[in-house]
Amino acid sequence: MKLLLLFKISLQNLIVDYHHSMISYLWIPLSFMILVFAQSFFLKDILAIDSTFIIYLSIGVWIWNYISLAVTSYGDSLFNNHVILNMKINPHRILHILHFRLLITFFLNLVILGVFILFFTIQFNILAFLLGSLTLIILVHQVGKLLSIISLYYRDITQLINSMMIVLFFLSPIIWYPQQLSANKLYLLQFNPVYHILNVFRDAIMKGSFNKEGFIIMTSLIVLVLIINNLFTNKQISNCATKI
Amino acid sequence: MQPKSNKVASLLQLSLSLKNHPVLQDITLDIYEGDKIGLVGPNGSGKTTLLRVLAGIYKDFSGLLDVKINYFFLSSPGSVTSPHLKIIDNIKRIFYFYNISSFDEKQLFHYLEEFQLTQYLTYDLSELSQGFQLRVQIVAYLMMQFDHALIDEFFGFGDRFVMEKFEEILNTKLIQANSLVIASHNQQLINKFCNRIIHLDKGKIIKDEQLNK
Repeated sequence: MKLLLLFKISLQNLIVDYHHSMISYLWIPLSFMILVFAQSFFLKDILAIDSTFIIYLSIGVWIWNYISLAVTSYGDSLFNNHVILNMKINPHRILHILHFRLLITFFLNLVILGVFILFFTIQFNILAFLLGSLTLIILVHQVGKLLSIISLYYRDITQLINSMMIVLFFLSPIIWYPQQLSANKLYLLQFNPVYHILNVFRDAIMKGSFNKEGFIIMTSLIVLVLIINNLFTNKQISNCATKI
Repeated sequence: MQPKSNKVASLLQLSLSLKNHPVLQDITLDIYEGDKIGLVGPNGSGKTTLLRVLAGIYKDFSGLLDVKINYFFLSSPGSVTSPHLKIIDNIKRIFYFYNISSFDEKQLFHYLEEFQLTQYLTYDLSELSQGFQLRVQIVAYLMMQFDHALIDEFFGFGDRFVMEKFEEILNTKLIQANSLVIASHNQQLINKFCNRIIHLDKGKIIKDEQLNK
């Protein structure tokens, strides 16, 4: 019942953003589709790569959309709702709405990705894909909680994160292949968590395999952030009204 | 005057600064079961801040605070509502934020009728006048159950009808409430509902007055 209400409110939140639009929140998957088609059309020539590039690219854009939207939204979530926080309302409720809203976006874009998978994928490991999705959702929610409170205390962090996300986009193999990097730069990718997340999904969808290394890194990150959140973040979120 | 019963909250030399500006200074106050307190004072005197301290929203204070009960905090829910949602959806939204998972639909429609809102159910909140938006918020609050309440006056721009209806229905709720603290500029309201008046000025209690009721 509570989850249903939360889902409804989150969906309403999303719909409100597309107020007066004829196709409303369906713009989300439509924009994703347009972006993937346009990028694939031009980049295929520039990078001189094969026909599987569209699926490679759509996985990259799908994951990146979710991560970047989450990072920017969580950063401002508590600050933008400071009036609500002064009403004895549990701040976690604001974060839960945001979390569900992001999930709806994630799954709407997945519908488009599903179409690409049907047309272009030869091997598909559904178990690795589902496990990867679940791990990513938990990771994003936990990191988001941490970002929401850090950004509340240090307002410049939001701007810094936004700038860093642009850099991270170019440093992650979303629209390019790791093989295109020179050998002396390739090892740097090992330090980029987005690279490992992308590998988990690309291996599951394009190779039908389970990327053990990616899963270990994602799970380790979850454990680390969970510890920080339990020791620090959750308490700070509950007490955050005075800080605004 | 009724004899003092159980203490439900006590503040001892409590001071609070927001952004290095002192908003509450050296507040010492005991609240007992049955106390219906009216907080009065000019704008910026610390009424709302004191309510927020009692509600547990502001925690970075000096001094001692011991609140033994769970106060229900009623303030303007305008920021919780969404202008592009219908009346019922907005009420459900308020319920979500106040952690109310189930409600009596019959009672809801009774209140909606009482506040003449049923004909506007298909309207977005933004399509209603401010007064009618306030009615929606009041209906949501009237649906809630509470024993102890902190009320930050939010019904200032309601018309005579709203005020009368609100008072009429709240009358039952507030008389039943075990403990109540209400911040208001409305002397009539304070006199009607309260048995104790605390005067605040510049973050300090300047007078604590017991009314004979």
